[in-house]
Amino acid sequence: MSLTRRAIVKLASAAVLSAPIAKGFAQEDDEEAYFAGTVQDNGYVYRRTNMDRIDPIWRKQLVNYVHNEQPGTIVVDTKAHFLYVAFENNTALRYGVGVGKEGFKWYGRAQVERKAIWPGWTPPPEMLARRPDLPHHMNGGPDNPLGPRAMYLYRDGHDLDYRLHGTVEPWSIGSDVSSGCIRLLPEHVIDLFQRTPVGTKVLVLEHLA
Amino acid sequence: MGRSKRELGTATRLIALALSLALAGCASELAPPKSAANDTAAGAGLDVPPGSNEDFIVNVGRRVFFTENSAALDDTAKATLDNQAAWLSNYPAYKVKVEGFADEKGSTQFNMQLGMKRAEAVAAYLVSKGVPAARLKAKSFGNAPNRKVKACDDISCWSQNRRAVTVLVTDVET
Repeated sequence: MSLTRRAIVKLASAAVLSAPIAKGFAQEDDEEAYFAGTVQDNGYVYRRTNMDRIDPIWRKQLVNYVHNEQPGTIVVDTKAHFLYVAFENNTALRYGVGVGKEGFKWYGRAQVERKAIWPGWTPPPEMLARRPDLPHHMNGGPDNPLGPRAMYLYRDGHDLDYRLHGTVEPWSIGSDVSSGCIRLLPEHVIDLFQRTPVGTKVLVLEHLA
Repeated sequence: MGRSKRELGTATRLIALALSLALAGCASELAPPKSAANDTAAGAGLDVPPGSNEDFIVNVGRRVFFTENSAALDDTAKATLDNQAAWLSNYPAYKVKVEGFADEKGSTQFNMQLGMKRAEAVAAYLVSKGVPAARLKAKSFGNAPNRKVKACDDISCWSQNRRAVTVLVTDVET
């Protein structure tokens, strides 16, 4: 039996980047409600998020946020499911995020050392051992679970395996998911990418939970 | 009552100590601040008036970034400027001051020139996307200490300082 590309994608995102929920037809309909058309971007197309379906607290917004960070710094609050870009005068731009297992495994200070448009995805060896049916590498594109952008965190030149990336599952924003790192809506991860030069500081807050 | 409170306090401290020891085992980091969603709505929150300065800051973005000693616009910068040009075409009442900046490396004079090249590159790009040149003014701040995002001897500061900021003005200074 040979798997179609879409089937592989479904398997990959179901196994790797989403909460383990059995999906029925009703749920598929619910999922469709999260999308509203498509957007052309760098040679690919992503599904536009229906922002009316997203809880207002997860939408991008300017907030008062007391911080000691230099402007431009990204602060990730995994517990509250928020990502902030620190601005001057104790304000910040806030985005809602979904946090995967990988997103909880580390906290502290890092910097964005690499950025990618339509990133490819290579499942880590331990995941391949568990799920030999997964592809060894997925090229970037509309079905890739990382979505349209990724930013890779390093510390002292060392890849932390900690990434800020997009998602193809907008309903997962604001929740803890089985895998992945810090995922944002496609519109939001593109916006964040635009505001984040290589070298940007990132602070992942300690999570006592 | 007072005693049970004290006991509770001791128990809490013990739990906190146990947690901090457990965490010390899994990450040898400087302790960053504890997680707390300690923010409040600023400005208009979700009801940002279309065409306002806040709309421009939140939904378009004022800054583009450059690499060291370069005034070249990369694809990321162009994508932001495309959005700026579209927004400025929708709201023609605004004039714009493009402010160019440099990081702290190099002489004051060099950085003043570099900041100007950056501001002019942004202005020229906006003009190429249909914003009338008469609405635009380019100005350099070089590496002026009071206009730095932050000063430090590290790429995290340099990368934020190598920038051009598109500032909306209703009256352009003369």
